[in-house]
Amino acid sequence: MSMNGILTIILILACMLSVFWEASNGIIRQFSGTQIDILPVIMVYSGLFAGRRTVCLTALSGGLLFDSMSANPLGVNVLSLFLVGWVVSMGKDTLLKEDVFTQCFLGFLAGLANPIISLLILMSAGNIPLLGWESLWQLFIMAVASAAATPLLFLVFDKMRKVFCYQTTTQSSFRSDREIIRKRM
Amino acid sequence: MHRKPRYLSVIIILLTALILISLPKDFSHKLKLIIGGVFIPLFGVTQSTSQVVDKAVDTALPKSFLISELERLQKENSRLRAQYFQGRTALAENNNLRELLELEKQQPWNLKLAEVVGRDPANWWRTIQIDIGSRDGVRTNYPVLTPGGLVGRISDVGFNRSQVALVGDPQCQVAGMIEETRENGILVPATTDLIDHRYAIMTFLPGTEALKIGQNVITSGMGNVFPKGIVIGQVVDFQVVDFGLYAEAKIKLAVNMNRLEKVWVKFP
Repeated sequence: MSMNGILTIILILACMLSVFWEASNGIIRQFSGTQIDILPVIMVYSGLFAGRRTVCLTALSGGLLFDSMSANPLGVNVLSLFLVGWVVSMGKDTLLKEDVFTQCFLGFLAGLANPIISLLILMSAGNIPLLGWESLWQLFIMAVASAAATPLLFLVFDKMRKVFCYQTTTQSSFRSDREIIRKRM
Repeated sequence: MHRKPRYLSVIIILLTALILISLPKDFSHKLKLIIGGVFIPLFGVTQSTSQVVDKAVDTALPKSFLISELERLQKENSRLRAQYFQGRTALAENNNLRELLELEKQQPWNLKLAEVVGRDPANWWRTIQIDIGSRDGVRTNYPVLTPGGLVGRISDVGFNRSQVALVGDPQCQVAGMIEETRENGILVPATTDLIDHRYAIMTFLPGTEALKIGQNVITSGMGNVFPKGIVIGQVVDFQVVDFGLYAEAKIKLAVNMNRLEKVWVKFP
């Protein structure tokens, strides 16, 4: 199995565990009245470190699993998660992925964008979700939680990548045809 | 060469999502339940773990506590037995009177206990998942309650789990009645209390003259989904809407939806 294949499996398993945790655990919901969502953070990671196929598969599995436990119509979260992952993957070569502030900022934006896109899709599909002024508070909590979770999850995924995936060889700058050989004249 | 697959994957995923969203409701529900089946082993592990923890806690309890608990339960049992006999006599009397008036006899409720295994991970719905489904005879629209009052209705049924739309969710609108004044209204979600799940709005009430804070709200039995007389909550606030056309009351639900663990599904 290729390196990216193992990363894809790790990310899909992370999506599954994340949705299960969100559905079965209500501690944060009881404190803040909001259930936080880890899936956008996983999409940020897949967008930065994995290929396009992994981004697609992670969005598909994460979105389907989330919608299967929710009253959302099937497919709503697939689209929103994919858009988050795709936008991040567009800038993967220019973003400072090792910088903690950048990670937090990306997590914040993803945590904010994912529910907003989901709500827009839901409403355009004719559904009437529960919305009010307090939804702004819920969006803020979700974005902040995503921002806080991003560096932590990046650490975990990096460790798992180091354990399960082999490292890519770095290309040496040495070229035998341009070697300067010192010898006596 | 580099650009083609990028946009191909985008098109594939967009098409997949659009097809999924536009699937017929029945097929989409079935597909959801199949996908949700992935979580069954995880829910099983959680349940068995909590059972083991409960057993461990039970064995660690001191004997004095168990004796005092036994005494309390014995007292409660005898009190409930007395109430049961009183209720049974009243029911027989009621049935006799109904027979005299040629009214249909009241049937005792057929209830089945279910455990709450999951909650909606989305913040814009109020639904829960319970561990009984079509194999136990559950069908959509069956009322769900606790000893405290109404919880909601079955909105989706799978083979071994079901989704319950809670009171206060857009999918669960309940025909309610103010117990004291017999005024009818409809319970709809409270969009001003999204963080606290203990409130709902009772709308289309005739006026505020007869409304008082603390009045009880029960199901009116209209709509044939919920039987008449299940406790919903209490009036905590009210106001006139649309230039006095009708009134709305804020209802504090009798059941705390955040702390549901076990619920009863009422079978016909």
